[in-house]
Parts: sequence; C-alpha cells; structure tokens
Amino acid sequence: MHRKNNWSSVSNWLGRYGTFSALLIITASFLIFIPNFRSFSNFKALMFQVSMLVIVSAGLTIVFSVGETDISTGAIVSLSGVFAAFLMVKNVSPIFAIVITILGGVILGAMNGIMIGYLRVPALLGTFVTSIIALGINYLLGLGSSIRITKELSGDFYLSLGGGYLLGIPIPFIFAVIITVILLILLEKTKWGLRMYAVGGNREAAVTFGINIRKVKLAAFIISGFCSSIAGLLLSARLGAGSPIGGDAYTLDAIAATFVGVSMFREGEPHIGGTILGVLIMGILVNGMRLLGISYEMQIILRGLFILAAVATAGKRALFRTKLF
Amino acid sequence: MISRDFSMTDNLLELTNITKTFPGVKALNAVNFSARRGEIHALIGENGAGKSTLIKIISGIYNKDSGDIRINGEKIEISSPKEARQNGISTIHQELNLVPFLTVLENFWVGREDDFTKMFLNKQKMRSQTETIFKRLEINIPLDVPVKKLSVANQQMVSIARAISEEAKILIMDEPTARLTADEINILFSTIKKLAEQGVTIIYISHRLEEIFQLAHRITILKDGEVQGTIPIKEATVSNIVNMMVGQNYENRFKKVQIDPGDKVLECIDLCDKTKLKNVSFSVRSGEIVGVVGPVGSGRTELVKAIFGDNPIHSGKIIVDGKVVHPKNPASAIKNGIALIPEDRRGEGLIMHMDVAENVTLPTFAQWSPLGFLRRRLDHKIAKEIAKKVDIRMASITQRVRYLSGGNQQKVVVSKWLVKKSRLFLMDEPTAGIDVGAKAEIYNLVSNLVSEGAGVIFISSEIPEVVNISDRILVMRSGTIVKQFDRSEASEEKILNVILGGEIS
Amino acid sequence: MDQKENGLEKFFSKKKISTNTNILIRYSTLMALIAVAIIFSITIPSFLTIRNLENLLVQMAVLGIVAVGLTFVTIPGEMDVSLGSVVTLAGVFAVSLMGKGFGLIPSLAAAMIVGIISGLINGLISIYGHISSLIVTLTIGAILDGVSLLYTGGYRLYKGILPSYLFIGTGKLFGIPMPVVIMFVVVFIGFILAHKTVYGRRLFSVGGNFNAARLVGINPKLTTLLAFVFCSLCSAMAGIIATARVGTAEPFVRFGYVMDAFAIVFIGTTTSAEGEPSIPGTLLGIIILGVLSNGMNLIGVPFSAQNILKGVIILFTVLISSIIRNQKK
Repeated sequence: MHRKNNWSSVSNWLGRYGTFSALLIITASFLIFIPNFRSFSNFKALMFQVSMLVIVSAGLTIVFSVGETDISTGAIVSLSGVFAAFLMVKNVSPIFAIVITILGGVILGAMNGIMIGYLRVPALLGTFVTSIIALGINYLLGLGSSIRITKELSGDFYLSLGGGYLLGIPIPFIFAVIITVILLILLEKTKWGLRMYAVGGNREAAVTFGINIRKVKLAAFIISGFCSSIAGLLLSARLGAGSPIGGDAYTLDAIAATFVGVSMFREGEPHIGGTILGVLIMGILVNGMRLLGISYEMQIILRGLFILAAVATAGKRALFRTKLF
Repeated sequence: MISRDFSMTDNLLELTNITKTFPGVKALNAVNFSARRGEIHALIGENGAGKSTLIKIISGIYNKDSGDIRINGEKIEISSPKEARQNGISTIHQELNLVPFLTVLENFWVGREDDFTKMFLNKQKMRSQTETIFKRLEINIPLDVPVKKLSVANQQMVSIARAISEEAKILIMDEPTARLTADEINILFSTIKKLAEQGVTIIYISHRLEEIFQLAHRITILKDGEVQGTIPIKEATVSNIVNMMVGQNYENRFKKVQIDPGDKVLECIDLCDKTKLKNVSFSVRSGEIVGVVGPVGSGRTELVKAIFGDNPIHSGKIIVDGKVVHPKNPASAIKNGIALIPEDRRGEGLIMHMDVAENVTLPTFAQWSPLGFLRRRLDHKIAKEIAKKVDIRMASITQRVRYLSGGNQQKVVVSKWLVKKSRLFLMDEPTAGIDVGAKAEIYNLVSNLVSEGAGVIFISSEIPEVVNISDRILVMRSGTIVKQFDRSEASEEKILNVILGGEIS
Repeated sequence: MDQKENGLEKFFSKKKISTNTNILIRYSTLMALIAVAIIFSITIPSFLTIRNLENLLVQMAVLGIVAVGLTFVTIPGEMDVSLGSVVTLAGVFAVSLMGKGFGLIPSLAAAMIVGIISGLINGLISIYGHISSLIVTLTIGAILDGVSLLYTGGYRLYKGILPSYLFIGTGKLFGIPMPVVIMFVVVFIGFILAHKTVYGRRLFSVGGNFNAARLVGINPKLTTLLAFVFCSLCSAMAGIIATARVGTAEPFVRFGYVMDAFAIVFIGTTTSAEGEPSIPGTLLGIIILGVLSNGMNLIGVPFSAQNILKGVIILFTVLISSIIRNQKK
C-alpha cells in the first residue's frame, strides 16, 4: 500500500476545501476593501462577465470528465460570433443565423470527437488542429476585423440576448444557469454522466463494463463545441459585434476554472459545481483587479500566474489530461 | 474442502483440442480442458506454461487458432470479451477493474443501468437490488464509499458481486490472493465456496498449492502449452503435481563452464525499497551467474531496478566492488559498472526506430566523441565488431532494430553493455519470447561475460534454464529471498517445491 | 486488444503501410514542392524573378529560425506555443536598450537572455513540474505578452536604433540579404546540433523512448530542458531580425508565428520514415510554406484563405504522421 506523503494530503485538502475557502476569502476581502465592489451595477457587470465563461467551462468540464482536454474552445467562441454576424450581414435572419452557428459548433465538436475518440489522435493535438482551422475560417469570414451587428441587421431580439434583462436578471446569466443545471444533471444524475466518469476514470474498466468509449468521447466533445458556440453567440450579442478575438481568452480561462474545481467533490475528478466556483473566483478576481485600477498588462500577467497555480495544485491525478503523446 | 460428487454430464465448459500459436512460440498445443457446474477447478503451471493464454481464449481476449469451445454441450465461438460476457464468462483481474473514484454502488451498475432507466439513475432501485445481492453473497461493504478507499479484498468482492449479478456462470480468478491478508483470504475462500455451492463454476489460477488444496475440486497442470494432467484433488499430492510440472523440455544445448568465482562484485545487505522488497541480502561474485526465480510479483524486477538506481531504496546497503554505493539514477549505476537488461525489451531496452549501430552504442558513444560530435564511422565500426562477436543477424548495421527478430533484438539489448565492460549484469528475463536456437546463443553470451570476470544476476521464469546456467539460485517470494540454492543441490523439483509450497527447509 | 476497433480505426492503425507506400509518402512532400514551384513559375510571371525569390527567402527567414527552434522541442514530444511572445519580447528588449543608449552587443545579449530565460521557465515548469508543455507555454506566452505591453506601455519603440542593428535586418552579405544568411546559419547549426552531435542523438533517444534513454544513463529531463532553451533562443534571434528589418519593436503579438511554425515542423515530419521531426524536414517545410505563401500573395489570395490552407495542411500532416507512428507500434 502506498504511503501517502504529506504533499498529497495537502493537495487533497486544497482540492476539497481550498476552492470554497478561497472564494469566501476573496469575496469577503473585496467586499470590505474595495468600495465599488459592493455596488449593484458592479454586481450586474460581474454576472454578465461570468456567464459566457461558465457556459464554456461547463462544456469543458464534460470533456474533462471523459479524461480528455479541449483547447479549441476559445477559437470556437470567436468563430461563432464572427460567423453569426457574417450571416446576418448577408441578410440571413437572426434565428437562422443562430441555428446555423450552433450547428457549426456541433460540427467542430464532432470533428474533435472523431479525431480523438475514433482516430486516437491525442486530445491536445486534435483540438489544437481544430482551433487552427477555426481560426482560419474566422479570418476568412471577417478578415481580422469585427463585424458590427446593428439593430437594423438583427432586430432587437438578438442584441437583447446579450445585453437584455429578464425580470432584472441579465439574459446571458439565465442561459448560463440553464445550461449549467442541465449539464450538472447530466453528469451527476443520468446514466450517461456516470458512464462518462467511468471512461475518464478507468478506461479498461469501462470497456469491461460494456461502455462504448468512442461514442461517449464523441458526445463529450460535441457538447463542448455546442457550449462554446452558444457562448460565442451570447458574446457577440453583448458586444454588438462579431469579434474575431473575443473568445481567445476563454481557452485558458476555462481550463483554469475547471482545474480549480477539480477534486472538490471527487478527488482528481472535475465537477460542474467546482467549475462554477472556479469561474466565480476568476470573475471576481478579474473584476476586483479592474476596480483596483491594475493595468491591463499586469492583469494578463496575474491571470497567467493564477492559471499556473490552478493547474499545478489540481493534483497529479488530474494532470494526466495534459500529457501530449 | 467440499467433497462433491460430479456426474460426467455436468460439464458446463468444454475446451477440446485448443491450439494457439504466436509468432515463434506455440502457446497452447491441443489442450483439452473442461469445468463442471459448481466446480472449483484450479489451473496451475509455471510462468509461460500457457495458463494466461488459455484463460484469455476463454474470456475472448485472444482468438483460438483451432479447436472447439462448448458451453452446455453447445459449440460456440468466443471472439470478443463482450461475447464471453454474454456467455456468462467473467474474469476477476488482479489489477483494479473498477473506477476508483466512483462509489461501490456506481461501480456496480455503470454500463448496465439500462436495467432500470432510460435516463435518470434510479438510486433507490439500484440500491435495493445491490443490497439483495450483497446479502446473498454475505458481503458487508458500504455502498456509498469510493471504491479506491476500499481494501484490495473488498474491491475484489465488488468485482465478484458484479460478475455474479451479471449472471456469470463461469468465474475466472487469476491469482486473487496476491495482495490479501490471511483473514481476507479466508473470507474470499468462503465466498468462493458459497458461489460453487450455488452452481457457479470457478476457474482458479494460483501458484500457491496450499490454497489450491483448500479450495479446489480438480486441478489441471499445464506445461509448455500442453495439459499434463487433470486430477481430482483427492488424488493430488505436492510431489506428483511438481513431477508433472517438471522435466527437460528442450535439448540441453548449453554446456556450463565452471569458473572459480573471484571477489564479490555485488553485495546487498538488508535491502528494502518503498513498497515491495523486504530485507533482501545476498551477494554476487566475479565469474558467478546467480539465478533468481520466483512467482510473478515476488519482487525480482524491483530488486534489480533498485540496484540499478531505478527504484528508490528505503533502507539497506548496496556494495559494488567493495564500495558502498547509493545509486540515485541509472546514470550513476552505469558509472559504477552496472548494466541492466530490462524485462521489457521493446518498452525499455531498445529505441525501436533507431538502427542497430545506434542502439548498440547508446550507453557508450559519448566516450569516443570528445568534442561532442558524433563519429558515425567509429560507431559503425565498433558496433560491427560487437555484432559479429555476438552474431546479430541483421540486414546491415544500419537496419532499424524494429525489424529484427526477437532473439536478435535481445542480443542488441545485451551487447550494448559489452563496450562498457560492465562488471555486473542484471538480466531480467533475457530469453523471454525467443526461440530455442537464439536462447542458446544468449547463454553463450552470458557465459562469455562471466568468463571475462563479470558477475551476472539472471532472472527467469523458466526454471530448467535457470538450473542449467546458474552457479547459485535465489528463490524469491513476496519481496524477500526465501531460499538460496547452490548449483550442486539445485533441481527443478526442489525449486518448485519452494515456490509452490513455501517450504523453507 | 480489449476493444475491437471500428473500421476507420482499423484502417489507420492496422493496415501495414508497405515500405513502398512509406517512401511514397515521404517523397510526395518533396514532389509536391517541385510541382507547386513549377506551376507557380508557369502561371505567375513575377514568380521566378530574382527580386521575388529574394523576397520569398527574406519573408521566410524569421519564421524559419523559429521553426528550427521548435523542431528541437517537438523531437521529445513537447510543444511550445510561447514562440510569438518570445519573438516580440526579445525584439522589444533589444530596441529599448538601444534606445537607452546601450551598444549593439549588450542589446543583442539582452534579447538572447530573454530567450534563454523563457526557455528555462518553460522547460523547468513543464518537465519538473509535470505539467503539459502546451498549457505551460500557452500561459507563459500570455504572461510574456503582458510583460511586453507593460514594459513598453503599449507604445512602439524605435528610438535609438543603431545602424549596425538595422544592418542585421536589411543589409546584405555577398549579395544575400542578412536575414537569409542568418537563417541558413541557424539551420546549419540546428542540423549539426540535432543530427551530428552527442546531444542530438540523446534528444532523439529521449523522443524515441523516454524510459530506454533513462536506462542507458541519459538524463531525459535535462536533455529536454535544453531543447526548450534552444527553442526560445531561436525565437529570440528571430525577434531581433524581425525588429531589425522594420526598425521598430511592437508589443502587439502576431498570432501567425505559432501556427506557421507548427505547420513547417509537421510538414517536415512527413519526410521521415518514422514520422519524426528533423531539421532537413523542417527546411523543406520552410521552403514549401514560403513558396506557397509567396505564390498566394502574388496571386492575391486573401490572407484568411491562406490561413485555412495552413490549417488544413497541419491537419493532414498530423494525421499522416499519426498513421505512420501508430502503425509502427
């Protein structure tokens, strides 16, 4: 029997309680020390900011649960916004544009799933390739500049999806809640979720249990692509434009948020609840940094350090997802 | 031991004339094997006798080359693990075949929850059904604990329970007691006996005769891919079993040259590593071949890896040529004149995509490249000399080792240390998977090494080979040396006795 | 063994590619290059002119140097996506030091040091921290971008550039543009280092079989660490040349470097019998990509379409080298 050394128990504890405590401490200190943080308008801004990241991260969590990684998320987010805007400029109705864009996200996700599930391409490589292709299409459509989505083009409906409120709650937030709840139920309460965890937890055992590994992984990547495209649509609706670089930060941020949530409920394993907390922490940190007047460049550096820390403390078990070959 | 009366028509599983060949090796030759309903049938044989091949054919992992499989008299084909399961055949593995962080309940049902539900897991139903089965098997394990927190014994129980609830009629157990305590073994045995009473057939593989005598109804002895005999346990004794397992199985092409041993090249004193080895003490002299035998999992590989610096040491001393050494990594061991021929030649012994010259000169080419530049011509020259000395059959010195036969690959693995003039060679299964002719060549190689003053540790699972070549033999079990034999007193029977029965007299 | 593979998988992993087919794949890349070059020469009047060819080479010089560095990291199976950020930061440092009055040598040295330190950080965290090199270098790249922005305050730097520095980017040696000279020198050094030195063989050994390399006394971690350092060093050199060509250092990162460099290295892997990266292969990749980009520019293909093409090329080459590698297992 392996003797557990001190480091692994610390990381164990960090995993279980660290996240939640960190969130509490950070929120509490910000509430106390940063006056603007307490304002309602800031709170609303915060809700907008985290909504998109939560949706992407939730999709990524599903991919993590089957033991894989996805670094094409940001590229799909950016592409979705540009694609939808492009379609609407070409006089496609907003509803159609939404549907086709989501379909695009699903197709890209399926591409990932086939490469990784069926062709045994390593996840890092496969999703990297997808992100490059998405980038290429992105540039093809928008030539590198944002495509404005004006009211005349898309009608109020589309823009309100990103910027509007329902009963005082920002609509993207509502989307975020709905999607995360659905995915949470999927992972924790349905048989498919259980199988996903099994595939990620012990591939050979999953095979013996009669689970079709390839299908499960394909489904996971499709879900991730789907989530990324939805987040991209919401983002473009909020910005009022399809920005070719809008989603770039999401790739790493989603990874960090999901890693932060690892080990919260099951050691070494991701969990939608943990991911949500991870997103909240990041969102609050970024928000706080901005309110403190920290320069944009410094924020980038701090965010990078945070990501490294999140990944490093996720524990060795979770890191196998990050191996290349 | 239960005494039961079986009628001949009770055959649940029948294998007739099963043959399976792998490239270069005939793993099973016209094997007949049958198991009756509710029988505990033990399968025994040395490493490489064909036991694992046989059960892999039964469980659908391998396809037989020829022969028939019948279940309940009906001829069937088992071409995949899924089909095996559908026929009621289930294997309980040694490695954990459950998902570690999922709970007992989840592991029990994942993959077949269709029994209950279209979508949502009906935890109530799952729980009550699981409890029923656990009760029937008298298993007392909490359902909501992650499986990784259970003891190995309990994890096994969960696997067994799942197999039974999947209506397994035949349960294959491969060395199930390897990591169990004495109490846990007793509980396992009572469970197995209960299952047998309830009509489940159990095929039980083990090298521990004492367990087999407690459990089995019949025992089948395999040797070199052939059935030596199937006898009811009443008629079995340690000596007649050992007799069936023993015997010269190939021509003795190797003539041992006796060499007077010189000074101690290696001495280990009370060596313990972090997980397996316990107080290992022995020595190897210059000119000596020390054979190491023992069942799988006895720590042989861990021992040589510890000496080579690839397995962290917890306590104890290693003395090489009179100096105490602390090998922290292979590089320092190599500097001390130690060479390792690893068990897994493809995974650890060769760089498959590089050619013969590169592989043969890998530990040493830096020596003659002082400015840091490769000297390919010199590499080739030296490699050619070595290849000639050792008779490596290859298309050219620049042929990639991937394309060599197993025997020649092994020669590359061994010969790369010849330039280094190592003093101590640690050889882990050096003749595994090689044909008879190549084996003889390896023996000659080893013989030459010791005649030039090196000491050799020779790990092998083929006892006749070890008896033939060694000056002394160490028998290991559970991480420690249980007996040392001198060449003059060693015989296959005696060694097998120690391995199987744990006799230390 | 435990799960029957589906048709597609079976095709890719079980089908033994005969030696002939293998050779076909390897030379097809070279043949494709020749074919494309011929087609361009015929259909585009300005292609075969000296001026254009010179242009082509200069354009590829910066990228080529980065690709050579990247090759080293991919040999042991790692990745480095901080390339573009190192290029930027190195250039920023060099130009800013000159602006502060430092001479040529100190400024160049500063840029190189940036490369060395970045490589060390990348390597140490990935290898000794057991974290995927992709994630580490992605993050470090982001952090370096932040540092560039912070250091320059978002401004372009151009003050105080020395003529000798500009010569690196715009001068000529025996009629050949300096960037091209430097690129060939780097390719040459890279070739020697990877294929003709003890270190190179160790690196390939680690890439071929990490454990086997360890068990013959090689230190795989150190060997890989050095690869990271060399890679970032190359990126730093590329940064010097890039800024020397235009006389300014911009803190805004060009995304293109990473994608193009990977495309080049992956094209190179198709020329090896084992699907391995190699310097000659990378050189071929540099030329192919250079010819393609140049030709497409002359025709007037939009930048975005070129990107998709590069993406497709990467996809293809990844799949091909996956096939080659898988069926060797």
